[in-house]
Amino acid sequence: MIDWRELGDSWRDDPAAIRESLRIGASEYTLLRTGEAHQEDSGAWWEGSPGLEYRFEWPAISAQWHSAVHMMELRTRTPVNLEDRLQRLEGAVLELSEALLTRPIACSTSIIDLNSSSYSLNRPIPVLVEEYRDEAVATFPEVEAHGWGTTPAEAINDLKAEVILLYEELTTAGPEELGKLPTAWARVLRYYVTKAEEVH
Amino acid sequence: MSPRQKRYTKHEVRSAVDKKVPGQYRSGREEVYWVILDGQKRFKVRVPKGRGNWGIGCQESVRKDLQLSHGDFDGLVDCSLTGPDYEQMLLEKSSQGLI
Repeated sequence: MIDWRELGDSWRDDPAAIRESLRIGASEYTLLRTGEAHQEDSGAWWEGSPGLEYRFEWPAISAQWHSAVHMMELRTRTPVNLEDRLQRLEGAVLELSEALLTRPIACSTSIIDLNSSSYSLNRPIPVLVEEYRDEAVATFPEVEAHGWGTTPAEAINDLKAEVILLYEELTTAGPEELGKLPTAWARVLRYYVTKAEEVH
Repeated sequence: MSPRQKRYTKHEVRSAVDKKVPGQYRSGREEVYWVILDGQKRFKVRVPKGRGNWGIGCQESVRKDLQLSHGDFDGLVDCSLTGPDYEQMLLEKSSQGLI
């Protein structure tokens, strides 16, 4: 066995050498066979690199060929650093688990009553409920109103109170006080909500 | 995959809204803050009262109410986005007819 490190770069110019490329993980190697005709058994060679050890094995090449098999890492190789890859993998798993834990279970439902004798609904209000691990958020998306609670039911009840307050606030405000969005919200709320005294 | 979301306390968020967002709290229910530009109510932000931690869902609803991306929301609470910067953002949205 000839260690290529002892050969320097002379092996590169050997016209009798047979070169093959070998890719292991992210690293690429040149496999070089040189030497005189010689009967040889198969063999193995251990090579170390930072954080990793490779074992290269080869069969008996032929009756005519073998004296040495040299492994030369290409200068453009990407080092295989398992520790670094493991750290990146751990980071990715952590991010993924946090994303899963913080992602809500979402469902849509509707409100058909505002829990108030003073207000009635002309039609059900569509509601998006997002249930997180320790809280729930109910949203009436069209008017950007939210209700919060520890359970979906609490969040929906909170949203009902918020809808009433918003309705009161927007329907009593002068048009000059409201910008584009609140004006649209007022229209939407009038479409869904009626104050009891307005019924008669 | 989205980057990890920063968590803030209620107090941190409310303090940022009080200092940097132009507007006023709704009378009678001080969790709702009306953003006022050019004398008009443009949109509302529901900001919880009190101190301590809260859930990521409530924090997300405040961020959406403030019409901010995750990065800008972090900036607003962490101080890199100033009140005038935020107001400028709102004026640009207003000129685009978004708010």
